[in-house]
Parts: sequence; structure tokens; C-alpha cells
Amino acid sequence: MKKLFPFDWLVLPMVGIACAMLVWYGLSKTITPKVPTPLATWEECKVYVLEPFAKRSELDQGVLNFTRYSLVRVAKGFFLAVLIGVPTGFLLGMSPWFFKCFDLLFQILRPVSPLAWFPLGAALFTTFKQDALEYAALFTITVCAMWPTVLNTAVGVRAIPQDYLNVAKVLKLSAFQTLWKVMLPAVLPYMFTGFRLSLGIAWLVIVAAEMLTGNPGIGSFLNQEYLAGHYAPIIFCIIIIGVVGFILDRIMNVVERRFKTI
Amino acid sequence: MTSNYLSINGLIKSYPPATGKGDRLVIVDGFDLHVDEGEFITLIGHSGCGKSTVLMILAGLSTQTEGVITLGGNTLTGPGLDRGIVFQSPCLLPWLTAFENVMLSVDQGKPDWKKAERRDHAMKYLSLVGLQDAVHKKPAELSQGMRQRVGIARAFALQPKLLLLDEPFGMLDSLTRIELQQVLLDIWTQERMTAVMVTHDIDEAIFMADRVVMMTNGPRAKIGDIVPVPFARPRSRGELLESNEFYALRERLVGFLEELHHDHAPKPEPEPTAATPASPKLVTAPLSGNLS
Ligand SMILES: Nc1ncnc2c1ncn2[C@@H]1O[C@H](COP(=O)(O)OP(=O)(O)OP(=O)(O)O)[C@@H](O)[C@H]1O
Ligand SMILES: [Mg+2]
Repeated sequence: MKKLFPFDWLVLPMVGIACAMLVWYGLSKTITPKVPTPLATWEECKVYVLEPFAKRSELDQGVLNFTRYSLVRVAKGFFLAVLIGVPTGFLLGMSPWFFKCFDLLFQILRPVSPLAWFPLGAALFTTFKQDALEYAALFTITVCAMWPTVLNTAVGVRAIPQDYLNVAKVLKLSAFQTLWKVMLPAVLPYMFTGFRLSLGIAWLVIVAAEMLTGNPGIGSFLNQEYLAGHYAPIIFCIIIIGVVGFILDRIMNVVERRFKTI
Repeated sequence: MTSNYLSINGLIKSYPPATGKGDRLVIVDGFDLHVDEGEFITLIGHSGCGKSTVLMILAGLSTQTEGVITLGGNTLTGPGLDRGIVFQSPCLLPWLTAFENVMLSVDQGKPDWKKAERRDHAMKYLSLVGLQDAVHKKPAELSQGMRQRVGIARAFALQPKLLLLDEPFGMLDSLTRIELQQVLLDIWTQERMTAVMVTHDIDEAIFMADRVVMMTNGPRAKIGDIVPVPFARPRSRGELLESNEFYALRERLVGFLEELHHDHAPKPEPEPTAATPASPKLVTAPLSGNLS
């Protein structure tokens, strides 16, 4: 985009945020007096930021502690999503048989909400007793987050130029060598687009999953404050979830672009 | 030197009709060619007549409907490391450097050599095409001409029995084209493998070939005429352009293609410029005299 004035990339987003704060302040002073003003929210929640690693009790901890629990959970779910999604995407892109068998099923499963998957997960993992809900959360994250990886990988496989496959044929590469030396590098940029979107969804799902498990994390903290009728921590959590999601997306964006250059 | 080293007998390629009913679409109908070991053949014909079709079948990337092809006594089925191929676009893997692209070919072609031997071999061919200073560059950092040099090095490094080239210089400007023709001929003169090259450029066809094979127009294309090129090797482009024999030969090829063109006046495909006798290309060619 065109540069409007020096430091516009810094100043203008601040203007946007200030506008939002103003609306928030206006609302809390007029029609929604139960919602604390920005300043009151900060006053009430600064303890979580100023002591980010404090652990007063299971559900009363510093912000970085909560974020860490949630990130670890997201990382596990995302890792499983990639582990399942990449081979599934390759099969979908390579085999017309596999595609015809499973495409419809995937299209049907894809729009199902995490709130619907979770109870199924809890039922599936009942044998794990006290860990059942934790596994149900991972299951929910994995099932919801894997689709962008599956679909982007499949698109990437179908987009491999015939030229590259001809080189593999002419040089008599084995099936494994073709996969490893030709197809995988060609699909990598597509896969990373899928990974970025999958990670975004995994982070989106974490709040819902944690609300239902109650295990410590940013989502369960939010849920607890909601049940207690504390509004300031809810707003605070929303901001933290947004910022962390933004940072994750930036990181993945950098990684993705590194692979785009080939 | 074995005669009939490469022999193509009764080659037919047809496709099922597009509508699903009716006669099959016969592209190539009875292509017979016998090539001696170490002979350089160029294949010319109007656009769409089936030159690439024949070459892709020789490469094993496409299968013939009928006909038998033997190379050095073996019947060809599918692709093989006994054939090196240079496509019109270089077809390099963009995530590998020039060296790694050639190495991929050497690793496959010489699996029982030591690693160091294979590296030296790849480097040797990269130097032969004049890329010794760019071996560690990725294709994106190379010019179109340099990429095609890598393609040539990759094909020669296999040390194949048969070299197949499908308009390898088609995408290059005329100066680079003349330069690469020379590079190709220089390496070929050292290795002397049998070669079949498709081209649109009549001058190129004469300059490179021992025999020029002309295909009739498709559909149902076959060989129309085969013209031996008598010039001794090594050839000099400058001398060739001063000899009357060259122009006589050129006239004959152009005449053949012209006649075909009139026989089949309405052709949907655009005409290859090199086949047009009025083309000023030849007149500008003396520029290249010092390159040969
Ligand atoms: N899959 C296919 N189905 C039907 N017809 C095909 C198919 N592939 C190629 N053809 C036809 O075969 C004919 C020969 O094509 P080919 O690419 O071999 O021509 P060419 O002589 O190499 O042309 P050019 O000089 O333009 O490269 C064309 O008329 C083309 O339409
Ligand atoms: Mg062609």
C-alpha cells in the first residue's frame, strides 16, 4: 500500500485503537454501565500483567502463565493436525479414488463447530478418567484445525507442474524419491499456507475447548470470570487472546514467506 | 558405428475422438525412421504436425498406439536413463541449485560411482556448458539461456545412448540461440551420441544435422522427405553461410514446407516464422560468423 506520511504504519493503527477505546468508554458511561471503562479495566487487571508468572491458585495466575498453558495445548493439537493433515492432503491430491471416497465426507465434517466436537471427544476418551476432558480438548482442536492443512496440501499436490513430474519420470526416480525430492518441495509453500490457517483455527478453538474442560488456561480463566460476573477480566482476556493470535499469525507469516521464495 | 542403432517402425499415435463417438484422431500415422549410431537428426515440420508427439514417445513420457522402437537392440518401453532429454522450457527444479539439478541426474545415472566422482562429473558438464561460475545459483537467479545450459548439462551428464531435444532453443533470443547451438555441437562432437532434435528453425536444422527429417502436415502425419546434409564437421557457421550448397539445401527445405502449406491452406495453428522464406533471419546471420 502507498505510504501516506512518515510512520503512518505506527500512527494510524494507534488512531484506530483510540477510536475503539473511545466507543468503549462512551458505551460504559451511557447505555452499558456494567461494563467497566478502559481505565477501570486496567486498574482491575493490571495485577495479571504486572505479575505475569504469579500463581496464586489454579485459576488465579499471571497472564503469561495462562497463555503458556493455552499455547502448549494449542501446540499439541496443531502438531496432531499437521501430522494427520499433510498425509491426508497428499492422498486427496494424488489419488482420484481417495478423493472420490472422502471429499464429500470432509466437506460435511469441516463446518462442524468445536462446541459440537467436544462432547464427542469427552465420550471417546472416557477410559482416560480424569484426563478425559484434556484429551477431548486436544481432539477438538485437532479435528477443527486440520482442514486448512488438508485442503491446501491437496491443492498444492494438484498444482505440481507436469514438468517436474516429467523430470522425475525421465530420471527414473523411485516413488519415494519422487515424493521426497520433487513433490514435497513443490507442495511446501502451499502446506505452509495451510499451517498458518490451521494454527489460527487452533487458537480460535482453544477458548471454547478450555471453557468446557475447566483446566487452567486463558479460556477457562475467561469462563470463570464470566460465571463470577466480573467484566473487566473478560475484556482483558479478549485483548490478550487477540494479541497472541496476531503474534502467532505474524510468526507463521514470516515462516511461510521464507518458503515462498523457492 | 552401428547402423539402425535407433529404429522406429510403423509408429502410430491416435487419440480417442473428443466427442466420444466417431473415428479415432490419428496424429502420427506410420512414422518409420532408422538412425545410425552417433548420427544427429533434426526433425522439422509445421506447427502441430506431431513432432513433439514423436519425441515424447521416444522419451517414454507418452506411449505409442502402435509401432515398435528399438535403441541399441532393446525395445523401448517407458522412460529410461539411456535417454537424455532437453525440453523447450528447461524444466529445472527451482529449489535446487544448478549443480544440484545436474547432480540429481548423475546420482540416478551413475549410482555405483563414489560421491566425489559424481560431483566431478556434474562439475565437468557444468563447465562444458560454460556455467562453472554459476553452479551454486538457483534457477530463479539464472537467465533463460543459462537455465537451458543447465538443462543441456543435465541431459549430457547422463551420458545417454540417445539425446532427445524438443526445440531446446525455442524460447531464446537469436544471439543466445546461436551461442547455445555451438555449445551443444561442441559437447556432442566430444561424446558423439545419437541425437534427435526437433526445431522450428531451418538454418538450425541444417547447421546441426547429419540428416534433416521433414514431417508432413497432420493429422496422419508421416515422414515427407529426408535430406542428408553433406557439410563436413566441425562446421563453421560463417563458411556455411557463404556456400551456395547451403542455400540450395535451404531452398529445398523451404520449398517442401511451402508446398505442404499450400496443400493444406486453412490451418488453425499460427505459422512458424522460420518456415517463411521471406524471413530476414538468414540475412542477419553473418553476425554469428565469429561465434563459430
Ligand atoms: N491429448 C491429446 N488429445 C488429442 N489430440 C492431441 C493431444 N495431444 C496432442 N494432440 C494433437 O496432436 C497434434 C500434434 O501435437 P504436437 O505437440 O506433437 O505438435 P508439434 O509438431 O510438436 O507442434 P509445435 O511445433 O507447435 O510444437 C496437435 O494437433 C495436437 O492438437
Ligand atoms: Mg512441439
